[in-house]
Amino acid sequence: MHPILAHREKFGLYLVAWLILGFLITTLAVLSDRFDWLFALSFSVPVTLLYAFVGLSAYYLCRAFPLDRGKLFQLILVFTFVSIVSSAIWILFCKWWYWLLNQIVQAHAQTEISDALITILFGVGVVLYILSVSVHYLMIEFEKVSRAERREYELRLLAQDAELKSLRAQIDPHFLFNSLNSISSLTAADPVGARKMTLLLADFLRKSLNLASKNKITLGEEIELGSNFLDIEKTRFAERLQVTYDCDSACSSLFVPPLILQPLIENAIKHGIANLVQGGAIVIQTKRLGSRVRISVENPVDKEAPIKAGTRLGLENVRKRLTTSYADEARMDIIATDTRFKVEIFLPAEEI
Amino acid sequence: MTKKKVVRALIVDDESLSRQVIREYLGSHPEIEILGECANGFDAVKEITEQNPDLVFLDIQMPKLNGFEVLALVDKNMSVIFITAFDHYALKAFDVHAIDYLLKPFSQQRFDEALERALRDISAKKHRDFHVAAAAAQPADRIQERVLVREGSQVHVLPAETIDYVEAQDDYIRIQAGGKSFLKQQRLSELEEALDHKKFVRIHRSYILNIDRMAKIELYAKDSRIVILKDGTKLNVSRSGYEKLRGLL
Repeated sequence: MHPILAHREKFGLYLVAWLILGFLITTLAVLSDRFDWLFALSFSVPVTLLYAFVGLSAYYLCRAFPLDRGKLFQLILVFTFVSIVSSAIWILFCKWWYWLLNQIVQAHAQTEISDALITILFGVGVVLYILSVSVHYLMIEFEKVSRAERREYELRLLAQDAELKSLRAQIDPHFLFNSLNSISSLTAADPVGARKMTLLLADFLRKSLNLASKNKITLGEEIELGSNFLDIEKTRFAERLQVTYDCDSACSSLFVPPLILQPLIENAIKHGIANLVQGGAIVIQTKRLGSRVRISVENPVDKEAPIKAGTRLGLENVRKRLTTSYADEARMDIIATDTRFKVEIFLPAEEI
Repeated sequence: MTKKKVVRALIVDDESLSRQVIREYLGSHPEIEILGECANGFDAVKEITEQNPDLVFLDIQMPKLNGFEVLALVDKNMSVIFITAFDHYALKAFDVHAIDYLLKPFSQQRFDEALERALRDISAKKHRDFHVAAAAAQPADRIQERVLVREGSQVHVLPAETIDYVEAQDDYIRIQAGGKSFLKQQRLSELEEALDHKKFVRIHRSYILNIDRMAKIELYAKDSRIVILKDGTKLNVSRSGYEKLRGLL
């Protein structure tokens, strides 16, 4: 479909441009052939508008002869020829229209347009056609660029989506096997405990599957999932694991990316509690700070335990997810001392 | 009345539920005497050194020392069954001569199989040098960031950055760290291999130096230099050692 004809506004603008040209031609006719204004107007406006439609044909020519440096000479030849022919046909029409007008109003003594005006009109016709060709080329190129841009943008969105999916925390198989081992151990000694553990595990799996498929969940849901996870780990670590929650109630309905906290809590267990003979307390805090929210997970560490490569990777993933979701709006800080490890996340507070 | 030899076993796992399963499974094996349970690597080294068990059920992932590190620190002839939920350790477990390798959770049947093997192994009295095998299996995957030294049943953990220098002494190495020195049965070349090569340089047949401790190098005689450490200690530098130092500085 022709890009100008397809859009009402563009077509309107195009016609207005040609109407202005029509008035210029009117003035020209008045000056050169001493037409009276009304006659000049009724002569030039219809012929200009007709030529406007002829000009639209340039689009199809441009499509048929795409811009190509190698064929520049051929292009010039084609367009010179076409513009001369178009202009010539137009002049014939002009002459006929002039004759017709003369028949109707009989106001003008002169039966023919002056040669001078014909020559000028012919020249104008050629130039206008070439102008129209240039405008169409510009339009086609512009459209190409914007289409490429749109495609690139769409691809970027897709890539971002895929990245978020791949960075999303997955259930740690070690956690599953350890939990199953706890259940296996409990079945003989403490059947009630074994059932409780099974239910906790089922609950956690169901929740994390549900939440992972969403784009945003509330901080309350995220904390609940974390506490569910920690309840399971409490069975495994017994008195070695304590958890302290210090959650701001103004935060629980805010939106966060799903499972953004989970890797931090898992790290706190894996690289903190699991390395400590006596264990310790994990502290989970949320705090609303005006238009932002601060979420932190803190755990004790064994100062003699070597830093494992896995910690950094998990944290890097969280950082990447924050950047993909919030760009510069989010931040993650790590505060590490000999005996404590704390991760703080700052997010924009997104209400429902 | 019981002429049958009793096998003395130690259970090492940081999770009480895991120890409980082993205890439960051992319930149907009266020939096994449970010496005790350990919840971390330090205790394990202590118990193994003092009690001399025939069989150890050894968890790999533990606080303080992992299962491999425990083995590297004890030079006892015993049978080891590894227990873990992480199966990427399996190959390494056999590298250090483990009898078997149980993946959590495991059944009584699977446990009995492993135990059967262990009992056969114990009666065959095959000699196993865990100490060396485990030490060799350790550094393979990454730079060692700490050095473990056992003194009797006590274990010292020396973070690599606290080490000033290491000196070879006959079959031992003497590690100088934080104003104290520790003796360890290891070859200097083994330790050199395991430490971070950007930080630790073998400056001499008998010395590995932490380059952060170096104050200056002095020409001592023709073609012979000494390094003076920040605490004033002087160490000889060989010609190739000097080349290595120059390459790093």
